Amino acid sequence: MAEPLSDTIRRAQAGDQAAIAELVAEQQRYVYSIAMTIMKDPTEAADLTQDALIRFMQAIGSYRGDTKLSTWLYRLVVNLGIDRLRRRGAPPIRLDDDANDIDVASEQPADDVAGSVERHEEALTVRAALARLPDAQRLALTLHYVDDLRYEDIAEVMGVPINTVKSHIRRGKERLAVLLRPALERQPAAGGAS
Amino acid sequence: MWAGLAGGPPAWERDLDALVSPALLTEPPAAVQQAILAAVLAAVAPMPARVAVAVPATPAYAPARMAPPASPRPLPLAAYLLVAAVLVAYVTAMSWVQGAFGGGAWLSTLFAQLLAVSELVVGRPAVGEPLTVAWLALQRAPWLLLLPIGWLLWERDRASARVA
Repeated sequence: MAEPLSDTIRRAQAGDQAAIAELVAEQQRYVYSIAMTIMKDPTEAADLTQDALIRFMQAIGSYRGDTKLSTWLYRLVVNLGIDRLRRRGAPPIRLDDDANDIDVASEQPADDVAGSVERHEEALTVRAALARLPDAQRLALTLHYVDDLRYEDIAEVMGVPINTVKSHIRRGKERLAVLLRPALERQPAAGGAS
Repeated sequence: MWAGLAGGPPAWERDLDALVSPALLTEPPAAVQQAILAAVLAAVAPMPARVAVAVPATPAYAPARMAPPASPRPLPLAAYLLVAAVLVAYVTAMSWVQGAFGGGAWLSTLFAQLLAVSELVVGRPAVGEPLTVAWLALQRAPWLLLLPIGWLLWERDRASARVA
């Protein structure tokens, strides 16, 4: 999914600024989504995203391809986020006026205002429901949904056994289905009767 | 609602996936994206590119040699100034010694000896780099600074022998 081309990685390792910019553009939505799940705040998520991407690019020269690049990056984000939550000392980066808006990634046309507002409200509803889950379930579900990671990769990112990941995702989905029942009932069924 | 379908996730789970998956993938605002990109590029810009440089291995049979006189490592300006100060002090002291004891061609003889020693120590001096050679010679043989004192003692002994 978000796995960049190996040629891009090689060029980034050689210090090619265009390749680095390409990697940042590819990865930052995933990193930011994970950071939002951990920090629960757009400003702190943006700060964590920046910190993680800087460290990632500074260390990319040591990447040898023995694990997925995205898994490596997400693990870095998670570790930095957990560490940051422990300390809570770093000053956040400044944002502009619309910094607190959450832009839902979509391939819909930009002039689809009504649909955009609806998706925005849905995103807020889903985020609010997700925020009520335990930390481990929330993180496992985010990794599962945002980049469609395999259970093995999620286990590697979180540093837990694969069965624990399966349990987190199963329980998290059941809990989310209850919390989001009104939104699910409004939504046209994707998989048949619900 | 919770009954699964054979061969795939149950309907409620597919509905949930369809609702949650696009909602969780969030992008930072455009201004934040630009700020992040600028910060990343600024952070990695000073890093030199990792270029593999092939270094020829030194043959095992190669004799150990002193560094060549024209060393590629640049010497700091302070080193030149220090050597110049030492030389000025040396020449001043030697002029005083020459005036005190009278003298012949001892200065030219001493310089010739110094050059011979420096050639032995650091190799043939490079034309146009006398201070480099002097500095390298002093680095490898700091005892050269004792030569003027040795010369002074030797002259004093010779003078006392003449008087005797």
